[in-house]
Amino acid sequence: MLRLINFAHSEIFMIGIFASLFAMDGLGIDVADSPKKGLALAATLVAVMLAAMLASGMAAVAVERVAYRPLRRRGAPRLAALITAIGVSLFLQELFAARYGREFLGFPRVLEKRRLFEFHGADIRTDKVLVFGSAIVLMVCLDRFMATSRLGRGVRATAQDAETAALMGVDIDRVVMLTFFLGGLLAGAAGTLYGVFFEAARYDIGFLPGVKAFTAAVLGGIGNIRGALLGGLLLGLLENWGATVLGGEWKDVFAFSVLVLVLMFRPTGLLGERLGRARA
Amino acid sequence: MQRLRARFAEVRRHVSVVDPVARWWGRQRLRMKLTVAAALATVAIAVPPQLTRYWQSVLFFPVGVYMLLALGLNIVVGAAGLLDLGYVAFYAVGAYTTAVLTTTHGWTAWQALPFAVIFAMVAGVLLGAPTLRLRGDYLAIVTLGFGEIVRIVAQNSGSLGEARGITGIAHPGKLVGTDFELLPLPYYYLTLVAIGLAIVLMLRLTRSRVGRSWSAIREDEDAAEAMGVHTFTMKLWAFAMGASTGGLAGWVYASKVSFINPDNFPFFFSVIILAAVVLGGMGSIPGVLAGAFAIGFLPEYLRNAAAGAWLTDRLNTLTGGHVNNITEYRVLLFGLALVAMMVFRPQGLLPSRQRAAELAEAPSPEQAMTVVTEAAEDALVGTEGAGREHGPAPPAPPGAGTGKAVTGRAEPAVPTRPRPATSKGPTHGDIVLELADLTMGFGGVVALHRVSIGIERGGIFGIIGPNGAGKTTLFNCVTGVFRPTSGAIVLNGRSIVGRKPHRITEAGIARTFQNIRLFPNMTAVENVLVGADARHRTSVPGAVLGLPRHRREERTGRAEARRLLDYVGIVHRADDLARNLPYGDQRRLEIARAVATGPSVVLLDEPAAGMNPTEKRALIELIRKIRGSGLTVVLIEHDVGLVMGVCDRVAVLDFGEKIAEGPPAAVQQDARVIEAYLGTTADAP
Repeated sequence: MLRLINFAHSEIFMIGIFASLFAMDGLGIDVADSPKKGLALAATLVAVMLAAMLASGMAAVAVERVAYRPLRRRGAPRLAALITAIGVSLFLQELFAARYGREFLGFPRVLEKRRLFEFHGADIRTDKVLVFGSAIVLMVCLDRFMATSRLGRGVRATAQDAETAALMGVDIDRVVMLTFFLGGLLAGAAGTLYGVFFEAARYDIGFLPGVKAFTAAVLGGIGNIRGALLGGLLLGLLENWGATVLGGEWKDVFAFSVLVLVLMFRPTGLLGERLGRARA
Repeated sequence: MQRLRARFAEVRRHVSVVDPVARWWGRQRLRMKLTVAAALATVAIAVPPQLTRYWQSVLFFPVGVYMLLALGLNIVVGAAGLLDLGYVAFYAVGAYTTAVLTTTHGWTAWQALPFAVIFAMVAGVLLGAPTLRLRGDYLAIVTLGFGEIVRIVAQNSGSLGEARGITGIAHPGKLVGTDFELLPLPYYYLTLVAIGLAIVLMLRLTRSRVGRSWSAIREDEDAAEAMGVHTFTMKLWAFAMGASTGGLAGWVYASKVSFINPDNFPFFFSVIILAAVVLGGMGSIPGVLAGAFAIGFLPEYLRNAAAGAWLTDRLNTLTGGHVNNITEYRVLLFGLALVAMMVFRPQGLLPSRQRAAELAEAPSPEQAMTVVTEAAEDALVGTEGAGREHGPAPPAPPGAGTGKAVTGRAEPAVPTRPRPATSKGPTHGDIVLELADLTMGFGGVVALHRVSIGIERGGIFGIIGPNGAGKTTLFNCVTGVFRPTSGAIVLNGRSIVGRKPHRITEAGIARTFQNIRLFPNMTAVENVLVGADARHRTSVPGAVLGLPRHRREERTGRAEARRLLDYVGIVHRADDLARNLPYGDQRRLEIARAVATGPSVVLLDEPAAGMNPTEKRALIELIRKIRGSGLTVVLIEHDVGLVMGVCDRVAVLDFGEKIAEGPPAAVQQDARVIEAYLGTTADAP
């Protein structure tokens, strides 16, 4: 939205995973505990996810305050913001590495991974349904929020032309902060889902999903929420198709190659607005 | 918060201790600089043999290798402004090439050397060719992806040893009586020689057409392209040069350690080198060397010093970690340093003059305005027809006295290039630029509809029309920014439809922009030189080797640029940064830059916008003078008075169609023109 790659987003996501882990810890759930059922499960998941969303959201806002705002105030070039983002990303990674070590931390199993039914040869498991369902729900919420609320309008206006938006009475600082907060919330939710699904956390866990998320966003078209959803879906499918054809270890190579190809032929993404056409 | 702010201010003061050093360095003459460089080189040569073997090897890796890599990355990031986050890939390619050639194929390390460099260069071109059209952030992420691809390929390819890596890489054979083997010192000297070569290369490039092109691309890529800079080729060269330096570093490293595996080439290695470049100051050679030295040396020093242990303890308390070695905190500190540098001192410790100007200051109000109008314009193109710009200005009051007009000195010749055989020189009735049935549609909107205009050589041709009539679109079609939907554009008897903007500039059309688009952080004379470079041929090899043609072009180019500044009347500001010139002078500079490309036609897009009557009169004189030098001038203008006063012929556009053409007086009487400007009674509010 803000035409800015937040490299630190991977780490916001990582913080979401860690926060989920600590939230479970805080709720007294032990690695040895058996999976929960019914209402207890729902309550736990919601509580954990809220905690993670809050943690990631706050972290994102903090990052914005410390690393981006001073640059924006000065009107620094984008290169500067990008370098800062990398700096923040490394700092956060290493902070967690120093604090929690460089090994994987295990997650307790909250959700029983039961096979629900088979669909054209694919296992539809409870955890998969949870991830997919939550993603859809969050996306719809975000889409509605952006389209209808006052703040959402502010965000979209700022994305198009920050200066004019400011002149029209939009508080840019607040909008940017909100954008980061929203991004953080989603990253936190994703962190919980990731934790429940993969049941592991490590300091550098955010890197690949971060790059993939960016790839998905580019694939769909930057600044376009529906595009991002479509991009995510496509990337996931393509990547796994590539993995079956070429072998699992080439999965990431495949994902990056897709990114390069897309940018080559459609630099603004599949649903992206036609940027860069109208220059000079 | 208050305390924090005070702390910040303190940090800033501490950091700026190096400012006097940087300023002093900037003031020194070449001889002094050479003396200092020679002194440092002497230290670099004489001291290491006195050190223990451990420190000798530290000086080779990481210090020396980092310095070499940082110089290479500096070409890409510092000079050309392309953020490459996968630089390690080229280092890896160099290392793996050496490894495979010397182990599987049994070559000597010396034989593998040129191939390590060339393969890395090829990798740079392979990565660059498809991706360099991308801008900024996208390029960064793609290069990052490329770095990962290279590493993963190495990890999964049997012939590259997979995760185990490759062992038994050959050391270089004897050279001038020195055995290499595992001794660190000879490798250190080898690296030193490579660093020296890289410095010479860099210096030569920055002071050439190539370096200027890079600066221009960094400042305003579209304007650079319009001034005839081969943006793509030049960016590719930057990538290739950076990559080959990386490959060289990879060769030295691989042949020294004789064992490599994918873990030697992680993503964060790219970041370390980037941190070195940023820390020292992008684009500044002393800065980059100092930055790389610091980043290579400090962790090793701290690891072995009491201060390191103390620092580790402090950091452990701060982070709640339990790490027993400072190197574990290395990356954390680099990350912190990157943020701190960008927040407090974005120009780096020892900045280059130009980059300091770019990074440190906020854009001036005028520039900010330019950004706004441009953004608005971007949004509007494609829906031309919406009301924008102010209406036609009233005719300028006919006043006497030319104010501070161009002085009537002996007029220096405007640069020309050999004309194509088809042209016959400026005879009357000779059409230099012809548009035939030009049509340009954006989606459903037709911005230009079957416009046909023939422009005579040596005339001043005006294009006027109400807002959104398609005037700027016409310019954009002619200069190759847009490809017209249909129709022909013929310059000097040759079609130029579909050519790239820089090709069209070379063919003989130069332009200025509606909102001034100079290269703000280059001096006036450099701005003009970028234009003049459109007629120059020197590329990387010529600049590096200092070939006679390169020297000749530099010499004549500079003289010519000054003459042109004199021609437009701003030679006294030749060495000022373009951004510091007053508005009227910026317009003049833009015209000088356009004329420098040696065009047969100059397109001026609203040259009088925002000028006061005195400036306008001076502008009219300048336009006449340009015509007097044998060039054809085409101008878009809102100021009807100016157009009527200066033009030989005028065409009027309205809603994308030509509604009238002829001498100004006739056009002024045309019923359709009056209607277009004033509206029919039925339309009138």
